[in-house]
Amino acid sequence: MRSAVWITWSLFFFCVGDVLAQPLTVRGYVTDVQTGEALIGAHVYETRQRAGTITNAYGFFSLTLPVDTAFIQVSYLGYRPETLVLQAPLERIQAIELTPSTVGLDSLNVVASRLEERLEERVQMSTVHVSMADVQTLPALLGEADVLKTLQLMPGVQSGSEGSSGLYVRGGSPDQTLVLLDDAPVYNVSHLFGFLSTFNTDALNKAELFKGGFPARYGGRLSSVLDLRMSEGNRKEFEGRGAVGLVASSLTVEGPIRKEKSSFIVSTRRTYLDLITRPFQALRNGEDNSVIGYYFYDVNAKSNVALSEKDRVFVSLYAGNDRLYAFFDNKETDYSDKTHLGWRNVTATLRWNRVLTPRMFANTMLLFSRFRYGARDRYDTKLLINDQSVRESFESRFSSGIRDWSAKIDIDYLPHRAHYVRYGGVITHHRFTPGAQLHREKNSLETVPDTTIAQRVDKPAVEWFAYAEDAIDLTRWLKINAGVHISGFHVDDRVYASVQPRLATSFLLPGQWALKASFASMRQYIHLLSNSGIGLPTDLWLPSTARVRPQRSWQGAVGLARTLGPNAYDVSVEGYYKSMDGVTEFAEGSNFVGLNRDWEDRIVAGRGWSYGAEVFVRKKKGRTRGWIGYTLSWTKRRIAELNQGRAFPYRYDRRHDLSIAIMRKLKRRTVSATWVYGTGNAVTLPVAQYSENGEIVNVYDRRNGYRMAAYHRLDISVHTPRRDGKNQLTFSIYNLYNRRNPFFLFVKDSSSFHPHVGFFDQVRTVRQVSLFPIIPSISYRFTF
Amino acid sequence: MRNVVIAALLAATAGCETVVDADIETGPAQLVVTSLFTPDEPWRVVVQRTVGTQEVAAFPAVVEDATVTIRGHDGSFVALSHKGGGFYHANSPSPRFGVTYTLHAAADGFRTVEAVDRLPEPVVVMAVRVRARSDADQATRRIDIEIRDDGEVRNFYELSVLHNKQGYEVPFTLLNAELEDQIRSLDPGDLFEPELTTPYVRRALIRDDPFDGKLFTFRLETESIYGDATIYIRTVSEAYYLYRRTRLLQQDADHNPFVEPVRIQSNIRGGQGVFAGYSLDAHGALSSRRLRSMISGAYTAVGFEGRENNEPVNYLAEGGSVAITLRPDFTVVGRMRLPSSDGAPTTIALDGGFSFQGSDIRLFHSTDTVLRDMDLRFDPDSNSLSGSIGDSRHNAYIRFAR
Repeated sequence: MRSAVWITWSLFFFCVGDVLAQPLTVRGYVTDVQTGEALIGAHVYETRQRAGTITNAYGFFSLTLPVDTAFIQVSYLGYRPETLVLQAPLERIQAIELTPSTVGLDSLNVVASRLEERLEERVQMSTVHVSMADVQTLPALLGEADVLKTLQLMPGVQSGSEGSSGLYVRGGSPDQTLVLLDDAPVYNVSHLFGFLSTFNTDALNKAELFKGGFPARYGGRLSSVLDLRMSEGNRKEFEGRGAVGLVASSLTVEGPIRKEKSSFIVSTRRTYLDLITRPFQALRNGEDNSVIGYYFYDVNAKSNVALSEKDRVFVSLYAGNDRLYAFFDNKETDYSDKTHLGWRNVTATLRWNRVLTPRMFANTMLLFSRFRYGARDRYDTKLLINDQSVRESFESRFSSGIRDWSAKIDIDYLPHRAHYVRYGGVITHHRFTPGAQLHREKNSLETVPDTTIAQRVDKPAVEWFAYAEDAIDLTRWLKINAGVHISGFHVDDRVYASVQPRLATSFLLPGQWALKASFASMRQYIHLLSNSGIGLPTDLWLPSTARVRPQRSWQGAVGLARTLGPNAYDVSVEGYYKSMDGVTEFAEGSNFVGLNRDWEDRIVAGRGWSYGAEVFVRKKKGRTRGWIGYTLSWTKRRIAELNQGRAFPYRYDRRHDLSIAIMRKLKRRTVSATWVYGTGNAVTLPVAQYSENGEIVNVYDRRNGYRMAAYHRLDISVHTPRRDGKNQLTFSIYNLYNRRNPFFLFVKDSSSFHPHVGFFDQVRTVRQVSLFPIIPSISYRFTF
Repeated sequence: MRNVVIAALLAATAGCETVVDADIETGPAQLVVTSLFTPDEPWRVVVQRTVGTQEVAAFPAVVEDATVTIRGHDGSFVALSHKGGGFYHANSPSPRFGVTYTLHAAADGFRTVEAVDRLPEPVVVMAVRVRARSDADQATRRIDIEIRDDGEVRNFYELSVLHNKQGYEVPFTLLNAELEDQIRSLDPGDLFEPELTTPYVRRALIRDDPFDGKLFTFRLETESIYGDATIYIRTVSEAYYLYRRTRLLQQDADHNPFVEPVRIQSNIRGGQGVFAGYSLDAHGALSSRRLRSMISGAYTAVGFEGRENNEPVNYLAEGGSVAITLRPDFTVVGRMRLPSSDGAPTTIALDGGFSFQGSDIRLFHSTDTVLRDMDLRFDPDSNSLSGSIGDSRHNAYIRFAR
């Protein structure tokens, strides 16, 4: 019934809107004058009517006004505003180019925070934007700028364990975050065992994280949506930039293919620790030749072409690969062993933008995403059997992964200045490969056939959703975004379906404070089984089944928000409550080993809930910028099979979480610092012991009943421009005061021995393992 | 690769390990009762108490003043007597099939504990076939155990193989693919070297889900055995299975900081431990009864040496002596006389009990001695017992002869 209402609502605007068309519809693209890059979220405002809109993810806008002549002001933070006077009739699509207020690599002044719309004007709440400039300015582990690490500094977003790239949003787990790169889902966001994310900031244009109040166009995960957009490439001229760091180097090249019509960007990054250490390993080796190494690389590429004034086509690709390897070779014994372990992501997006009517914009996409994890071990040797030389080899392989093909359409329809209607849908064919093992032995005397222990069993599934939403300005004081998201999942002979209402409202109070509230129901049909402790690439994505049902959640939030001064400060306070059902945990004693088989037996499902308050103050302009984010929260789980059925704190239940980020422009340098503080993670430790047959048996009481020490850390960085600001030297220190933050705890038994009486009383100590001490790093960024 | 990754992880974190002050809420100590009973054997119960993680106390903390009783629903009743070292014992009446037994244990300062279990009916073993592998190592044994599983109840089994001559439990692997998931270890290294078969174990715990109510053949392949073996098929109660299974899981998980710890599933209400029954079917020359009778006897230490602060010591040469008698009913009497630096030798009573798993013997007595902490191994060839303990600076080695 609800969906019928929405379809009628949508059709009403589609059909009737044009009949009641106003005299002037202004539409166009807003781009950067130097690069031709679309400016997402630019503010387009008619000064006399006091009506406005913002550009969409492709820089497009449409604004219908009851006037003959429109006085349009287009603005975007970090750019000089433009004013246009436009008169009816207006057939052409406007191409509006904004000029950056400064130039050069000193990014702090270039784009600053790419936010223009004032908080009280936005109906959307629980949303976080970070600019790539901020990401590159703030200190980073090993000097590698990382968008996910910057997002972890926002209220409501936690990092999990030290160094982890995963996003724990409002009590959810990382798999409950939908990560979209140019609309293609990315299933594994980790490089370097989780310490770096897969996203190269040089290739990104925009990052927006939704923590709640989800618009109807998003779905498929319970806790958050991270919408990442890749840069499109400079349409005006060729340029390049790169960075040389301690761990990795990157290079980005972009430019026009046909000036003003099409462009490309290619950005690549690779670590080189393996290449540097290889000569040293060779020196150390004697008769044995053994090599151990690790590297990752990623490549982002994107191209776009304007086919006509109304049509644009984009192709974007991402490929990332991590590889850990070890080779051993002994010529004397004629024995060699080669082992590999690796994981890779590939995403691809083919997109066609078309301006269908002056008020309607269509975005049609074909999407591909694949994540694959694999391990391989092979040895070869020569044996002497009965004076006969026999060559023998052994090989074992394991692989798992997920692959998606999707078709998607999004329609933006702006029938009236008070309505922004979006509707569309997607259909995705998933192919889950829980795991395949191959075991092969060979020798020159006899051939042993392949013995595939676990045959590769692909499990296909189809997921789809359709949505409709309308952002309505009911009055100047009251705005709503109401929508519905309908989804379905088909696996084996089962069909799961759901209708998820979404609502966000904003009411302008006296004093220009906006009172906001939102409600969102979400459904997640796929599950991630992963080692929760560290970022080992053991992600195993699996579909809902008859036994493991989809995860469900609803979240309500209420808050106050306002932008103070001339766009100088954003201030928001939010409270939220989220209820989750069907959240999974490993059964006691189960872990990721051998999960490809009988995985349903190894997990347990139950309820979870999280509630808390978030305070966010961000200074967006001036020589000193930054933010303070504070979260007070409680997160619990209740699963019948765990903790004797009693509720227990989620491992990442964090009562207090505080982040401070500061960027200061000095005369010749830019300095930045971040300080984070978080309540310690909840862990389970044995409360007592007893002995059985000489072995210690641990007695555990409450699950996650013990708190590790609080986590806090200060990082700083100094950016020094070179060559008139075109290049930049960055010196960073991670964990400046060398805080030994807990990574995990364990209980160690030690005992002394006396020959007469055996072991003395055993002494048990709780030991803490810390990961990163103070780590200085240096990197050099350049442009050409 | 497993070693590479684990070594890298340890190397990365080794320098960052610190002892921290932790205020772990322990709660009051609980009684720990351990008793596995089977037909035709005496009742044996070991009683100790839990020791808080940060508590400084003797370990294990045996409880010697407990009242331990076992009552059958058929009216049978037995009060166990303490023999030493928390070892409680009663010769009769021994456990019987079809009777539900309730154990009570009480001691001053502790909450009284209670547990209920019964003997499971033994499985019907249709055939046991042992043969050498023809294609490779002739000492490797293939063992097929064909059983008829009772479909009326949920059954649990424990399999083991004993070397007839040396009495030790021979490691083996299960070849049944449908049982792989039940036996797989939790070794994190398996991530990098996926196991292709089940790992080698000394005892395999199996539940009958894959073959409930059917004829089924366990297919075992042992490590090399030079000599004959006896196959033990235990039908165990659910309490036995859950306790032993979670014990094994905990042993794996406690060495892996990235796995959630495992809570032992105990059927002791108000305490810890296990009170569980099992039935044993042995196929081969070395039955449990025979092994027990072989082990039983009077032993005298003929060698007792060690190192104290890296200096060799011969305790017997310095006037020491050790004598123990292992009785068929699992009780022990004995004395240990140790020389001391002040010239007055110390005499320690070794009265108590013993248990054995294969030919590995463990003693229970009140005083904390080097014997109580070590595993003694019985050698059927020489009718001797021997054991060792310690490190390179401090150690002890003892050998008994009959």
